[in-house]
Amino acid sequence: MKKQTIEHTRLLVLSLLEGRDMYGYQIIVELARRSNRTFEMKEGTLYPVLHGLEQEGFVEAYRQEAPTGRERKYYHLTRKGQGALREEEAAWKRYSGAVNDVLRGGAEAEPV
Amino acid sequence: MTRREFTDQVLLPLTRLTWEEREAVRRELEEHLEDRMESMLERGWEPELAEERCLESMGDPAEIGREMAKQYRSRDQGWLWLGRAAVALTAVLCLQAVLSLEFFYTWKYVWDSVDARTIYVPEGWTEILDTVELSMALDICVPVGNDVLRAARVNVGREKNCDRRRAEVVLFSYDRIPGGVVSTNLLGSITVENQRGEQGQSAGGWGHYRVERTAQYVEIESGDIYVTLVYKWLGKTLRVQVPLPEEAS
Repeated sequence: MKKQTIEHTRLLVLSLLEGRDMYGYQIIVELARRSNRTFEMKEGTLYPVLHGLEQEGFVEAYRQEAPTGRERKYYHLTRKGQGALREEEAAWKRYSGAVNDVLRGGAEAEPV
Repeated sequence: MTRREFTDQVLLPLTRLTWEEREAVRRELEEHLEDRMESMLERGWEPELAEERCLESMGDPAEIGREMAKQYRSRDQGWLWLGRAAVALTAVLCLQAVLSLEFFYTWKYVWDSVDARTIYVPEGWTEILDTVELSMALDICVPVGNDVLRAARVNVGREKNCDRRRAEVVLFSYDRIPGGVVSTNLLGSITVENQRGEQGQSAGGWGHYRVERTAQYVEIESGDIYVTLVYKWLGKTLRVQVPLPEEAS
């Protein structure tokens, strides 16, 4: 698992949990659906990310019965996690904006 | 690989988690596999193949475990500091114990118990006599239950303002095991008799729970060659003759 992958996964997970509380498998399914299967990852790698967020206090976990009737471990975004999401979102926008700028500049510089 | 083997490998590096926390991680992963499996079966996968693909889709369990362990690294640091603090505290307590009087006395008492087995009571040492006329070192050891009674010296002499001569026997008691606890009842119950059966007295003594010392004395007459230590133990009367210094006869 590469560091970059984890950092991006953190942002995506925080973002998904902003909408509603979810359990691990739900997050994987939702991530694949919303990204049109672009963000398909080895599913087990989600759990170190979730546990890391929990250790940092960005999410809280609780057990509750899922719509399937089985009990699952749900994750809830905390106020602290909302703050972290805002920061990571801003950082990502700066980063992606800079990448876009470079790509646009690179395209213009290319001789026709 | 089975689900159990998969989760076992994930849990392997999570050494700082409690058993309950590790089992909670296992449960969460198993639930994920269960959901994935159900989804694949609904889509018509063969159970065996679905199981295989389920585990494949999870990724390398060892790597998941390592990454998971990293998330608890701050807790590891906490344990590390706690461990160091415990070692430091133990060292301080050990030092304090070594320096404390109680520790000193414990070893002193054990040493006294060992010492009493061979100690030589010097000539002239007496508990009650004002003048020692004759003295003889002894080494009479009598086992009494778990304890040992040792007569270490006998003196013959006089007290001030008393014409009659007295024999004084210096006694020790200690446990058979060096450092063991001796019965305080042993020396307290011993009496000394002269050759005519007249009982003597105790001159008091000294001791702690690992060794006791006393002196018993009785009046003697010219020509006496021994006195007798008498001790009643478990319904039997033990009698031990202690010779008097030869010149006394």
